[in-house]
Formats: sequence, C-alpha cells, structure tokens
Amino acid sequence: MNPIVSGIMQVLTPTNFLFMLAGTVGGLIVGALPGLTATMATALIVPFTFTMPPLSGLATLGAIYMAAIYGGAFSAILVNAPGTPSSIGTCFDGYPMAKQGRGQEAIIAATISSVVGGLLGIIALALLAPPLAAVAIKFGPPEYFWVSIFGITIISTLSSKSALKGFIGGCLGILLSMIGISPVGGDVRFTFGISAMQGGIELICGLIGLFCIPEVLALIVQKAEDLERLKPKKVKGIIGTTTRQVLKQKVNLLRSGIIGTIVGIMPGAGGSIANLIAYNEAKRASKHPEKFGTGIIDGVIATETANNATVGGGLIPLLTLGIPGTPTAAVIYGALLIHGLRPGMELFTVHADITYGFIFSLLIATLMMLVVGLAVGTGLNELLSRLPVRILVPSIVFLSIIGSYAIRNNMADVFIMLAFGAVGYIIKQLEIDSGAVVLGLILGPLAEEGFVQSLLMSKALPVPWTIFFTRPLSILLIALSALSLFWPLISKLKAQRPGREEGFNV
Amino acid sequence: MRKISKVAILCLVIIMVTGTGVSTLASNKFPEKSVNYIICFNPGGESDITARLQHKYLEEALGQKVVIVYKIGGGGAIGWSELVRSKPDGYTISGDNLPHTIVQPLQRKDAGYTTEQLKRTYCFELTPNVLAVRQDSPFKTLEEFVEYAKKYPEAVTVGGSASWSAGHLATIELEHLADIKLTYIPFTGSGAAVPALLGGHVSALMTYTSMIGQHPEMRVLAVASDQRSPVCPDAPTFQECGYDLVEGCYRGVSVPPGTPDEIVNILAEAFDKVNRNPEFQSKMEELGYQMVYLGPEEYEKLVREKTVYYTELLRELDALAK
Amino acid sequence: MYNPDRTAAILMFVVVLIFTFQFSDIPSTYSRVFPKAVTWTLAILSAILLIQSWVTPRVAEYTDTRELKKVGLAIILMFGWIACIRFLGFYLASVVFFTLLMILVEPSLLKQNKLMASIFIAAVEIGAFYMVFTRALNVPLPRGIIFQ
Repeated sequence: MNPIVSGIMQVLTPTNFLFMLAGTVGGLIVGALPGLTATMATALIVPFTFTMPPLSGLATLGAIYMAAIYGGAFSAILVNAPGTPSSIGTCFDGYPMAKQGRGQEAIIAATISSVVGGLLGIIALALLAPPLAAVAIKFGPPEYFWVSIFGITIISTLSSKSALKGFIGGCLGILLSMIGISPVGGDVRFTFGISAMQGGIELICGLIGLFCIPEVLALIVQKAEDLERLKPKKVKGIIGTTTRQVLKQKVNLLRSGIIGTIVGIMPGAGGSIANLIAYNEAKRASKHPEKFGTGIIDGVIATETANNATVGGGLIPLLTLGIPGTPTAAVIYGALLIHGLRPGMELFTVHADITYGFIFSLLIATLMMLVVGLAVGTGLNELLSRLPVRILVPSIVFLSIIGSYAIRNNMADVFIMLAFGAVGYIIKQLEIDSGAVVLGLILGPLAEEGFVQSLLMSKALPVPWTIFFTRPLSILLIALSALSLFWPLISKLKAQRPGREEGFNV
Repeated sequence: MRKISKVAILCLVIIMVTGTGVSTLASNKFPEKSVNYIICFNPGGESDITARLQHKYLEEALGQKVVIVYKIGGGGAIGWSELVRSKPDGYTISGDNLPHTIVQPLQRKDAGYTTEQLKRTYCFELTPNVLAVRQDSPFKTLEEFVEYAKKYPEAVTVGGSASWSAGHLATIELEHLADIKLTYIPFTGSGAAVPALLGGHVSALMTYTSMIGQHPEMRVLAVASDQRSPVCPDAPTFQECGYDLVEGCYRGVSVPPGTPDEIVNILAEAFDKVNRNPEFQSKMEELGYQMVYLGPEEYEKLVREKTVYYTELLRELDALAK
Repeated sequence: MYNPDRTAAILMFVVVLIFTFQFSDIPSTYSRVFPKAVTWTLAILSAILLIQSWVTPRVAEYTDTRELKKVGLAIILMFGWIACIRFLGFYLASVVFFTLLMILVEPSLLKQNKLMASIFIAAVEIGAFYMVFTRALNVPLPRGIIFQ
C-alpha cells in the first residue's frame, strides 16, 4: 500500500481520536491560562507517549500544540492577557470587542481563523516541506538581525498616534530584554547585583504584567455605569454570520496564513512575531487602518490565522532537517528521537507512513479544535461576563500570580510580573504603546544575537561591517524594513495624490 | 450567627482538605514521598531527554514518584541557586552539568551558588565534543582544517552552544594546542547552531556526539575523547591526530549542601541501577550519549580535578570574575 | 495637568542613565556593543521627544486623585499578596489578599455583612484552582511555611 495512505489509515482509529480529543481539550485549557504553555504541556505528556505507538504519541502532541496556540486567544480576548505570546496581537482588537459586548463574535472569528490558519500551515507542510526548508537555512546571523529590525519597524504602523514614542517604547523593551546573561559573551549584565535576575525577564511575565495588570487596575477604578459594557449582547445565528464575515476576508486569511507559515519556518522566530507582522500587514493593506485597535474583526482574523499557521510552518525545518523552529517543536523533536525516529529526509521516505500520518492527524486535530473551541469559548465568554467585577478582579490577579510562577517555577518572576504591571500602568499614562515595548522585548534577544554573531563572522573580512549590506537576502530585508518604516508617510502621499481626500492635518 | 459559623467551619474543612502534604520530619526510610528532579535547561534538550528516559526506571528504583520540575534561566544558574537553597532532605535533586557548574561561579561575580555547594550524587553520562563540518566542506581531515586556520587567522568560524560551554572551552583548547586563531560564535543551544552550519554561515561546529547521530549531513573531523565514539566510528580522536584534547559535557545529579550521606547513597544507588539497565543503556547509546558510572566520591573527585584545570585556563584568558 | 511627552522623555533619560552606569561592569565587548547602541538610540529619541514637547506642547489631565489612591492601594495589595506567600503559605495568603482585593473593588462588602460569604468564595475558588493545578495538571505552585 502507498505509505501515505497507510499512514492516514493508521490515524483513523478510535483510540487515536480519543487521545487527540484529550490533547485538544488539554491544549485549549493550557493555552488559555497565561503562564501555562504548549511547551510545558507537551513536555508533561512526552513520558506517556513512550508506551504508545509512535504515531499515536505524535498525534497527541500535535493536537496539544495546535490547540494551545489557539487557546491563547481566549484570555487575550476576554481579559486582555495573551495566554501565549502568539496571541499578543489578538489583544489589540479582541479585547475592545469583548468590552463592547462582542466577546462571542471575537471568539468565533478567532476560532474560524485559527482553523483556516492551521490548515494553511499543514498544507504547506505536506506539500512544500523540502523546498521551504532549503530557504530556511539561507537565513544566517545577518539575516536574523535584519528580520528583527523589520519586526521593530512595524512600530511605525502599530503606534500610529506617535511613532516616535512607539520607537522609544521599543527601545525600552529591547533594553529590558538585555537583562540577564548575554547571548554572545556569556556575561551577567544589568542585574543590579541580584543573582536571581540572571534568568532575565521571561516574556510571559512581561506580557501578563504589561497587558493584564493595567486592565485590572482600570477595572478597579471604573465606575459602575461603565460595567454595563461588559454585558454581552445576545445575537441569534451569530456563529453563521461571523463565519461568513471571516471567510469573506479571503485576502487577509491567505496573507496572514502565508506570513505565519514563513515566520514559523525560521527557527527562533515563531508565533510571537508572526501574529504581530500579520496584524501590521492587515492594517497596512486595509482601507480603514484607523479602525484597527478599536475592536475590528480584521485584526483578530489576521493574528489568529498567522499564529496557527506557524504550527505547520514550525514543523517543516523540524521534520526535514531536525531543527526545531519553536520551543514546542523542540519537545516534539525529543519525542521523535526517543521513538527512534531521526528527523531528516528519512522521515519522508523510510518512515513516510508515520510522517504523513502525523501531518494528517494535525489536520483532524485542527477540525476538532473548531468544535471544541466553539463550545468552550462560548461557555467561557458567558461565565466571565456574568462574573461580578469584585470576583473577576482578584481572580485575574490570582491567575497572573500562578501563571508567572508556573512558567519557570520561580518566585522572582512573580515580582517581575508585578513590576511590569506598574511599568505598564505608567507608560499607559504617558501614552506609550505597550505593544511596542513587548515587540522590543521579543525581538531584542534575536536582534542582538544576529548583530554580534555577524560582527564575529566578519572579523576576518577586509571591512568587517560590510557583512550586513552585501548578502542578497539581507538587501531584500533592508528594503522591506525601509518600506515598513516609511509606510505611514507613503500612505499619506498616496492618499493626497488622487485629491479625493482632503489630506491630513500634520 | 449560626449561618456564619457554619460557613466558617466549611472554610476550615476546605482549607484542611486542600492543604494536604504537611511534611513529616522524621525520615527513617528514604524516600517516603515524591522526589522533585530539577532540570535547568529547556524541554527537548539533552538534559531533558535524559531525565525523561530515566524517569520510569528511576521511579521503579526509588519506589516513589519522581516529578520533573523545570527551573530554566541564566544558563542553568537559576536552577542551581534554587537547589542550594532547598531543604537538604534528598527530596529535591537537580541535574548537574559540567563544565557549567564549575565555570559559572568562576566567571560570574555572583552566580547565586558555588561549585562546592552542590553535593555531587551521581554522574551518569558524558557527551564528548566533536569538531564537525558539512559533508561537502573542503576540510576532509583535521590536518587540513588546522593548516587553513594557520594560514588565515580568525577566518575560520566555529559555531557552538553558548559562551563558556564545553564547546567553547574545547575550541579555546584547540587554539592553544594547534597554535591557531579561530573565531568562536556562540548560539543559543547546540541545536540552534546546526542550521548555521548547514546554511554555510559558519565553517565548522564544535558540538557534541549526541548531535551527530541526529544529523547525518555533518562530517566529524575529530572527537575530543580518549576513545572513538560509536556514533561516528570512522572519525579519529584528537589524541590520534596529535592534539591532547579531551573535552565534553558531563551530566549527573546533585543535592543541596548538607544532605546526609545515607540519603545521597540511596539516590546514587538508584541512579546507578537505572544506568545499568540494558534497555536504558541501549536507548542512550543510540542517541550518542556515553555512559559513565561515577558514584558520589568519584564524581566529587572529577569536579575537583576539573576545577583546578578550568581555573588555570580561565586565568590565562583573563576571564575570571574580578 | 502634565505634558505626557515631556514626562516620558525625562523618565527615559533616567532609564538611559541606569543602564549606562552598568556598562562598566560588563567584562566582554561583545556583551556591551548592542545594549550600548540601543541606549544611545533611546537617548537620541528621547531628546527629540523632549524638544518636540516644547515645539508642540500637549497636556493630559491627571487622573482623579481618589482613583490614583485606589490604584496605589491595589498595587500595594498585589505586592503584599506575593510577598506574604513566603510567610503565610500560598493558600492562606491567597485567600486573605483575594478577599482584601474584593473589598477594595466593592467596599460595601464590609457594611453588608457579606464578609464571610466573600471569604468563602475566595477559599473555594482558590482551593479549586489549587487542586486543579497541583493534582490534575501537575503544576508546582509557590510554597510557604504553612501549606507547602
């Protein structure tokens, strides 16, 4: 029998479906709780997969991974706390939607887009894995540096109110990410002499602090009449209408899916960057970019499509080259090795049945997510909207504490989370975009590593610095960064030229 | 009033039910409860894979549950400084990597722990360093590699995992022994360095035997061990090529300072039993790990010897913390 | 009233100083070169912002002082919560501060004799989460003296 068909047949057993369902539900919960990550969930499950046949084990792990990335959207939409770094951008429009009582709409949109994004990533994995992997290794340190610079330039579109302050926030984020051990040189720096700070700032703690705590404080001071906004409006047939609304945005879905897949392929980047780039591109391409950030469904669609597409994308370098693109992929890698499956072309030839079975199981898990996600999401939305604020507030704080502790089992992280909360509140008063700070926090380490490694690489060149500007891929990335940086200016010029609009007051 | 007291009683009951796990102090038979096994590195890495493979056998050997706890950060320092502050009762143990736990306290002003604080219990594996290049690399032998590096100082880039790791130290030692100048480029992990080699961004990798089994695209020029490795039997050792270079990453377990010797011995016996399990051994060797069987004293001795050696090496490089 | 631009610029200069003072502690150039570049960038951007704050001045209203007090109190309570885990144990500290935060949101709880009910809710919710996390999900939680 054709190994692909036999692999697919092997997946179709009741036990495998049961495992995958459990994985989906578990992944969803873990993803929705900030601080519990897909990486931890999969690492916990790995020992149980030893006794399973390899395919069942992989299917379970894959289901957890897919569902956890999607589950992050719940907490992002409902309490403004991205459950995973992959859902940062979902906060921007998802939470305003929930505040307007459109939480259910946001959750449905997130679900449908996650499924579409997941499917796009899987299709790329099944059909294009080897050629795409060849592209992935073309990215060396200089390219990673320019990729992160490109990521930083998003700020000029993201913080459209004041790009200058956005970039200031970005610099602040980068500086904070430098605390701890330096990636090249291995020195301890900026720890104020506290040895517990050697661990640096865990991204999740920063996220919870920056996004979640200021919202809690806002809830505490808000007046009773404002609370009414949280009450959801019941709309009949909302699943159908929202689904149609989402599927109408074909370009947005496709673009975000491709962004997610490509960013997922690059080792080290992953969903946390993909969702922000997709958000940025959706905003740039939109006819009404000013509505982004106010609770527009397009934003949720872009981020959630992109982050689930990174799942398939991230598995491409893993399965073809044995290079895990994301931390969760690293755990799946460990599981593969333990089962005696060596990543590489062998997986697509000798073990083709297992590989294609695994890919097919991801497909099924994605569809399971649709059903489970809609049910759980609707329930959670109902529950949270009924919870009185006096219980909601301490509950969010409680979960923030558990989450920031659980991520590394470190009490110092909880204090750091709270410190970030205070910083988040202050910069909100100063009108600095906390999204920009987070972007700096994510991209800082990537940028530094690429930058210093490139410097080392070019030590023996006649003119060391030229390495940043001479490689073809780097030049392409520089052009993209320049375009992204000056986009607000370009779009202004474009708007003025036809003379239809009155022009902006500068 | 009555209502309130009812509620209060309920509260108490809940507190009592949920707050189980009150510790029993006297321990005449260790272990009486589950043992926490701290892993200081990311899931999916070598330390994690080893612990996951040990897990089942270790639970059998100890007769208790073993819970794997991740304390990641600072290149392992966060986990180790947590360990030395834990109760010395044997219920908290931690993976211990050499040279990390020797070099970090030497090189950092305050690593949060000292090398002597970790009470060595058992050392179970070694992954020797290997110098590897891409299959299509012009360097066919170590000799060619060294010759080229002599002609073009600093032009040969060697990737590896992190600064002051075994790979970094091995690169420095090779520079000394062969009198060449290389450029060492650290990556965030041994896995993260592989794409840089495959993409041609670095000329070679100073990696570990455990990576070779996974990546057939690499060709090993030499192994930094006193014996050839079963994962690359055709590759000579550095010693065979005339360079006395033996370097690698040892992994074992340690307990907090002040843990009673009886408990240390019980733990060491359990790990020894796991290590001698043929099923476990074959899995480990398949993945490129070299088994070692060092009990508490031998392990401690190894650490003392290595400490002297690394202190000297770091002093020469002017890298000791001031 | 305050100028958010100017305040932001000044605060960022403080950040620049804090980081600049620590550069001399870093032994290797490779650990220094990138943070130095970013610190300089931040300093330049903040200087531009400072100039901008005079060229095109903007003002923001201070938040209501009563609100500020509430925010300050909330942050102190959260800090206390985390700090007390060490002494009271995770469960007890959480119940105490959960209840205190509830009272902060709705001070009327104290008057309406709803205090016991609130404590009850806190105890049950935290207990439930505690069980789910430690038993079902196998996630270790912070430890203290009384409840490990």
